[in-house]
Order: sequence, then C-alpha cells, then structure tokens
Amino acid sequence: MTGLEIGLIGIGALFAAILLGVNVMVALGAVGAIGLASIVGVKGATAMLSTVFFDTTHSFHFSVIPLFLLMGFFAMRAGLGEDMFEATSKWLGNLKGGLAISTTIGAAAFGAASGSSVGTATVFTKLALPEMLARGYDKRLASASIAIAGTLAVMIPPSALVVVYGILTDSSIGGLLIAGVIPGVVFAILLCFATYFTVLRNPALAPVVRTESTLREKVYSLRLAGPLVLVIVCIIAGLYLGIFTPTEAGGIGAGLTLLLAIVRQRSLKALKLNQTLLDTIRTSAMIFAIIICALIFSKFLAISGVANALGGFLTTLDVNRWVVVAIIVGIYLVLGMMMDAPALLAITLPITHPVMMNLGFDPIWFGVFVVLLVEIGAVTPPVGINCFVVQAASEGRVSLEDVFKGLVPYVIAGFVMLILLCVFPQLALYLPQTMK
Amino acid sequence: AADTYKWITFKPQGAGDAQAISTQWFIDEFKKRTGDEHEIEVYWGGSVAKTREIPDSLAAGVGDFGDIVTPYFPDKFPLNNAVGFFIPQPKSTIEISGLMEKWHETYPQFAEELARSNLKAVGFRPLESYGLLCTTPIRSAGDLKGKRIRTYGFAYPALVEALGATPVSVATSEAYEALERSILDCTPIGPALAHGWKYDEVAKYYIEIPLGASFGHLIAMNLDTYNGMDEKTRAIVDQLGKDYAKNYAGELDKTISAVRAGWPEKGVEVIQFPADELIAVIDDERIQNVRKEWIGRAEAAGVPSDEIVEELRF
Amino acid sequence: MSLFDRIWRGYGRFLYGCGLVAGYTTFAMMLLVIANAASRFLFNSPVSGAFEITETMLTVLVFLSLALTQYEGGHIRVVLLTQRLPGGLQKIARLAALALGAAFFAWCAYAAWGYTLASYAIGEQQWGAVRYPLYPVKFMVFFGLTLLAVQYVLGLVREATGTEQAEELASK
Ligand code: NA
Ligand code: NA
Repeated sequence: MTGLEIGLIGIGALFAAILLGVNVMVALGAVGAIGLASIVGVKGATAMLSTVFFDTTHSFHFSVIPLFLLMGFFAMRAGLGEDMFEATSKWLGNLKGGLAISTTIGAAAFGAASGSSVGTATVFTKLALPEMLARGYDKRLASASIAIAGTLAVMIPPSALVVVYGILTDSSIGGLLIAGVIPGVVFAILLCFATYFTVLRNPALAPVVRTESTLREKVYSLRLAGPLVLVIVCIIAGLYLGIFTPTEAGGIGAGLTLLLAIVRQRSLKALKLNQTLLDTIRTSAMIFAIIICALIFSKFLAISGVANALGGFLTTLDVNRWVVVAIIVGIYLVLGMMMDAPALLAITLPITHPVMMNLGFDPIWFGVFVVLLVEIGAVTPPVGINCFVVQAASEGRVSLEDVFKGLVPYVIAGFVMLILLCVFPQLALYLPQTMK
Repeated sequence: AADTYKWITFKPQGAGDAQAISTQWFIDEFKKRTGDEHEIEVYWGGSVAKTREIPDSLAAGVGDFGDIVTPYFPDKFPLNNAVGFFIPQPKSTIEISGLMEKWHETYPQFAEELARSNLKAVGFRPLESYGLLCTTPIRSAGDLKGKRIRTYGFAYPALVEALGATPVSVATSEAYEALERSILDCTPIGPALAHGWKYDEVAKYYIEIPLGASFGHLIAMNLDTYNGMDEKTRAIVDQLGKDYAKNYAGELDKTISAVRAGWPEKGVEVIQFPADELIAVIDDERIQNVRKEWIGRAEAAGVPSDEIVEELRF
Repeated sequence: MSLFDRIWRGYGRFLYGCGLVAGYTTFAMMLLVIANAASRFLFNSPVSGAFEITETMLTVLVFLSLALTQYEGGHIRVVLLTQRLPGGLQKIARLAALALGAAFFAWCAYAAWGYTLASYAIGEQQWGAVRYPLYPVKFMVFFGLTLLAVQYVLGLVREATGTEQAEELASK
C-alpha cells in the first residue's frame, strides 16, 4: 500500500471512529498513531508520541488557554454575564434574537483584546449561554451563536493566527493585522443579521424579553456593563501601552476578573475558589487533549503524502482563477473538518500560497481570506474546536449535536463573507494601503 | 534500487529564505548527482516534526534527513553546541561552518556524541552574524544601560546583564508586538532574520555590534540510513554536505545585501558600535562562567578545549 | 459496596486531589504572569525565570487534570449515531471505544516513559534565566498519561461488568 492510500483509509477510519462514539481525542490520536506506525514503523510512531505531549504543553504561547479559561470562570462568579445581559436586554431586549446579537457584539469587543478564538468562545459560553437559556432561547441557536462569535477574536487584531500566516508566507504582519479590522467588523454585522433572520423565520427560537424601560432606565442600566467594559478597556490599554503582551493578557484579565469576583461575592471564601479552579482545569484538559491528538493526526496526514499530493494537483490545473479559488475553498473546508487552524495553515500554505500568488492575488488579501476559511473550519463537524469548547464549557447544558446543528445560518454567513471578500477585496486592502 | 529519502524540517518552504532555498538546492543536487537514481522528499513547516521533536523522530527513522537546531539541545549535544557558549565571538558564518567541519574531522568525540543518538552530521548551517535591532539609536555601551533586550538560552542573559541591560524573555511569535509596544528595546538578530520575522517594520535601528555568527543547525541523517547507503551514494552525500556550506552562505549573503539595500527606504538606520566596548565586557564573571561550563564538558568528553577556545577569541 | 466500587471511588478521590494541585498551579501561573508584567513595567526588571516556569506550570496542570476529566466524562464524544443503535451494539461500541482509549494512552505513556529516562540519563536542564532539571517535568507527562490509561481500563471494567448501568439506575 502507498502512503497516499494509507492516508485516505486513515481519513475514513477517523470519521468512523468518531461516529461510533469514540472520544474525539482518542479517535484522532489512535488513528493518527496507527497510521504513523504503518508508514514509519512502530519505533518511529512511538518516537513521535514521546515528544508531542511535552513539546506542545511546555510552551509559553499556550499558557493563554487556561488563563483565558480562568478569566471566564472568574467573570462568571463576578456576575458579569448577568449584569451585561440585564443591560443589553434593556437596550436590545425588544429586538428579535437580541441576546444572541449582543453576544456577537460583546465577542467582537472582547476579540479586540483577545487573540484566541477558543478563549473567546469559552468566556462567552460562561457569560452568555446560561442567560440565554434561562430566557428561553433555543439551545442550538444560543450555543452556535457563541461558537461562531469566537472566530471574531482571530479576525479582529491582535490575532496569533494572523501572525502565523505572516511568518509562513513572508507577508507584512503589521499590514495583515490592520487588514483584519474592517472584515472583522463586517463579519460581526453579518453574524448579527444571521441571528436576526433566523429568529424572524422562527420566533420561538428566541422569545423577546418585553421590557418597557424608559430611556432614563436604559442609560442607567449601562452602569451594569461597566465592569466588563472596564476589564476590556484595561486589557486594550495595557496592550497598547506596552505593559504586557497578548499572551500575558490572559493572566492580567484573570487577575482583574478575580478582583471583581471578590468584590461581588464580598469575600474570597464565597468565591468557591476550589470549584472555580477545578472547572478551569477540566476544560483546559479537554482542549489540550484535542489539540495534541489533532497534531498527531495531522503529522500522519503530512507524512502519508495526502497534503503534498493536493499541491501537485493544484499546480497542474489550467482553468479560470476563480475556479482555483473555489477548489482551494473546498480543500480547506474538507481539511478544516479534521484539523485545527495552526496545523492546517502550516500544512496547506506551502501549497496554496504560491498557487494564489501566481494567479495574481494579493498576499494580505489572501491572508484575511484564508484565516476566515480556517476559522469556518473551527466550527464545522466533526472536528470543530470552537464547538467542543462551547460544549465543554456549557457543563452539560447543550450537546455537541445542538451546537453543530445551530451553526447552519452562521456558516452561511461565513460563506457570504468569503464572497464579499472576493467581490470587494478593498474590505481587506483599504486600511493597509492607506496606512502606508 | 531507487530510494526516496525523507527530509523533515521545521522550516516552511514558503519562507523563501537562505535555508529554504539551499535545502531545495541540496535536494535537486542530490537527484542530479545520483543520476536521477535516488531522490529526497521534503516535509516542510514542522508538519511531521517540530523543532524540539526532530532529533528523536530522525533517530527513530521517521525521517532520513533533518535539521537539528543544536542550541535547543545543550545537554544532548554539548560538544556540537560549542559556539553557542561563546557569545560574543568574532567568526563569520562561513568561518563557523569551516570550524565545525574541522572539529568533526579532528575530534572523533563530535561525531560520537551524535552517534549515541543514532545521528550523523552531513552538513553545517551556522546562523548569520548577529547585531542588535533596536527601537532607539544605540551608539555606545552607555546607551545600553537599562535597555530591555530579548534573550533566550543561556549565553545571552549573561552577556546582556554584563552590559548593564535587562534580559527579557519573549516568545518569538510575540517579539514583533513586544518591539512595537516597547516591551522590548532591542533584540539580538541579523539582517536576514530581522527582515524574515518583520521586526525591521517596528524597530528602526540596526546596531553593528559584533556578536558573531552562532551555530546553528546540523543537517543530520539517521545513522542507520547513512550506513545503509551504498558507498557511491554516501560519497555523494559527504561531498554535498561540504558544498552545501558554500551554497548556503552565498544565498545568505545575497539576502543580507538585499535587506541592507532596502533598509534606507524602509527607514532603518545602521549604527556602528565601538567593538572594543563589547570586547571589554567579555571578562565579566557571568560570561566567563558560561564559557567555563562548556570547557568543563569538553574536557569531560576528552576533547582538548584550548585550540577551540582560541579560535573563538577576539 | 463491592471491591471494584471501592477502587473506583478511591481512584476518583485521588484524581480529584491531582485536579486541585493542577487548579492551584493555574492560579499560581496567573500570579506569576501578573508579577512578571508588573515588575517589568514598574521596575524595569522582570521576574527571573517567569517565562520558563510558566511553561513548566502549563505542562504540570494539563497532565494532572487529563484523567480527572475522563473520570467525570468530560472528554468529548459524538453520540449522534450510537444512541440510535440497539442496546447490545451500543454496549459493544462503548467497550471498543474504551479499549481503544486504554490501548492508545498506554502506548503514549510507554513512549513518555522512554522520553523521561533519556532526559534523566543526560541530566537535561531547562537552560534560561533559571536552571532546573527537566526530567521531573517529563515524568509528569508520563504520570498523567498513565493515570488516564488506568482510568480507561477502570471504565472498561465498569462497562463490561455492568456496574455503571446498575449505579445509574440506583441513582434515579
Ligand atoms: Na483579536
Ligand atoms: Na472543523
């Protein structure tokens, strides 16, 4: 059997194992490891298993994940979610899907401080999901609106993934980061519309909270949003003043929300610190297990030659350039079902970037396009890391199926955004070109 | 029989830098020199093994060729890390590859150290000569006092402290923003890497302070694969490894010239630093302790260190 | 209570203890990151070794919490298809999934043990602003993977002997 055949069998086996109810981490890891063993031998596969766990976790870069989780759990204990929704329901409560829409807006604002799609999805699961469910929102709509909102943190700078793209393709990181601002905002607006129209078609999904509040009450309610706004302002200010780095922002944010939680609970004891810390480590264990096992699987895909074969196929095509774009979109969607975003970029960009440059596309534009594309992959089944995170952080309130099913309108919004980027490349290019 | 060897590297092909270009040259040349009989397939971008994973993966036969960043493994490969303990030192990139080659020929302990991990060095790829890239102009040792300088590993913290500056650890992926937001004032780097990591977009002063060319990467092979090659192929690999140094250094020089030529337009100013002010601090106890540590390890391995140390003296 | 039940609960309590250590490691990591940024900004002197220690703390907290998460059923599964299968097939699928998990993580633990021994043999250290040996950190990886493999084995026994179902019925 050739490596390529083994690779294709492995892809089939992964889907089968996941559907048969094997833990996703075990499916990814076991299929990946067995696949590796059949190509490079048991000794080789064992060597790869020996290094990947330590190498992935002994990393400053990833310390942001438990710290953002901690921030989310402290924010929950501080009651920031209840307060925020009290305020937004006064303003948006009479709007169809108002709470889901304010989640999207909140995540966009939070995304300006955070570079982590997974971290943002976690924080907003903690903040917004219980509130939405308590007010009769449909599980699918509520959980999916949060899973997709996480992607805004990667679109809107700062963004670790955008930096990865810049490094892999030798493009200007400064330019790339600025380029994400307008598409990030436009995508946030599209997501709000997706919620609005979904609820318009089926009002039962999101009962409108009828509140007859005066303008005075509305303005007064803004104070409730104060603490969260304060945290976000502190983080943004700290980043721009050079007090801490985006990774360190996780620790600072956790510290700030801890203070708010102590104030709110009136003592450290009432905070139930043990419980909060256990919640944090359970979720981070789940996330790291998936990340590492996804890495094992993507190492297998790489060495099987499936990835290299795709590149060879693309470079021999002789068709209209938009056909190539459509094929590349298809490839990312298929691979995005199985791999996490950084691994996907590392494997595919050496293949797709040169092809796109030869076709005359702008590297900055392609950066925004491809980051959106892999972020859509972060919410598609069966390996949709944001959905896993939402489900895990929901503490059993929603099932994985709920999240995936609810995502249909938002994935459509993602496609609309991809089309908008193709029709109006200036969305991505205007700011980098005028800043020069 | 025709063989296809696997090369595992952390470097993305798209980087298009001297390492990527010269790696591709090695691959093409290997095919040509074996008369199209054998070839090498490259697994770029850490897709199979990341930097810290490569020695173990290579030793176990996941790959046949691979790039080993020796400074990541000071305990596993202490001898082959010699240069990393001597910062600053006066030798250039091509001189350091010559020295590595010479030491491997002179002292069998260098190869034995790798053979213990089932590895064989077939080529050497030192880094470019480093200076400091800073966000403010630095014209003398006095200007460095209190500056926050990025450090990693063991030798740079000692040097930075000896210069009266503050060593700061920042992840490579965050160094760009750290320079932009003044969390860092300077980072040790050469022109090609400064351009490759885009740091010269946000730090506009390149200080010509002679930190020297660090080692670097081994182009290593799985020892079993190497021993299993027929004599003709092995000879081709050996010769290619030697020719590689020239090709790589040539590519690196091209990149450095191009980057330097583009700097005035980009607003990057090159500033000379009085070398004797740097050389004066080498006697500092902290720097000397790092060097003594290597000397101790070399002697323990039975390598006479005097000649090697002499080569790395200003 | 049967012997197996006592083992199961005792193991759960042990994992809970590991989880608390992991939780307070996370808390300490937060304090360290804050202290480092504050000291760097205010006094121009970062906390020596904060960067390296944060990395080590991350490894420790992840591997001390993997098995607890599995004990509590926290690792992700898709039950879309299996819940529609007849009872007998469901049970076989669950047994196979647990056996695969046990075998995979036992393999990983074996690999991590070799990696730990190699690190110990060369006296590998963290080389940075601070120095400390790395083999205990690598041992934590082995330890966490072993706990997880054992948890899968216990889950398999529980599923095979039907203890789980009986308990769920009892709790209703
Ligand atoms: Na962001
Ligand atoms: Na996906």
